Amino acid sequence: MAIAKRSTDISNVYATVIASSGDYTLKFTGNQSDIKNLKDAEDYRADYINMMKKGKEKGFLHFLKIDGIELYKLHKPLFSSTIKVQKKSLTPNGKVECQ
Amino acid sequence: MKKIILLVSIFAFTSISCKAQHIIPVEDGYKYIATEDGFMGDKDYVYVKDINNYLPKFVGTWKGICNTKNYEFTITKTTTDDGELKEDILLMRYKITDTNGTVIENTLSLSNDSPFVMKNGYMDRDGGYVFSYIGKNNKCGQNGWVFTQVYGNNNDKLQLFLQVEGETYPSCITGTATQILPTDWIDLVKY
Repeated sequence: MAIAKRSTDISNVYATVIASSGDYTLKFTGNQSDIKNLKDAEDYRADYINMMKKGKEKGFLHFLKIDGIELYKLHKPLFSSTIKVQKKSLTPNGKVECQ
Repeated sequence: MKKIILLVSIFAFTSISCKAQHIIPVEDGYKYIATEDGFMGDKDYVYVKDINNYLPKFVGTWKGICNTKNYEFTITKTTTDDGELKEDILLMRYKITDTNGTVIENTLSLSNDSPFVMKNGYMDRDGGYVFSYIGKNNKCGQNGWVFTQVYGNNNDKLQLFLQVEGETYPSCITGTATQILPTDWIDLVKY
């Protein structure tokens, strides 16, 4: 979020992580002026550990809960160049929804 | 007839007003922590409950000495509920002094929501309790997991050690912090 706030071209700001359960990309599509009250990274540790008890995807989405951040899961089958992209979000009742 | 109508009404009201609650015994916590689905899975409302009364034996004040440091730990039990996940949990606070009585660290008076009060734990496979630890110098690596185990005929002894995670953050400019909690098992006595 700090990078997104400082960036002059928001379309180039994204982060990708390759995990055992899949590849995930985070993208900020909101308004930079809405990024407020950012804490230092270490100050998010307790909330992160607390939320991740709910499950990895669900916990992470609960942890994010900032308007403008989108989470995508990328599926690339072995020996295939086709990548399926799923947008992950929380439903109003807190369940993980795939689009 | 009136009784039947009353029973049907009670059943209907209960069905409408209550979310289905899924209960996980607290001693099964280790089976869910760090898994893909965590405690929630596809459930709407989960209660990690101390059904079998495993947590009270940890509760109390525990004291011990190790490497010229005096350690005092207080463990309390509480229940949290964020509307989705309800949990019977333990909280741990501590005070560390040197041989002269000088305070090295003291979290005894901090409120439950302080990050420096150990929480976010779970019961491990051996019946011990594991706390998430965030030290005052978290940014320079004072973080990890504190493992505890109650033993003794009267459950009057506690073993404890810190498994250092040591994650350092970009804001750390003073180098890796010294750990103030014991990184090997120490024995504590209940007071």
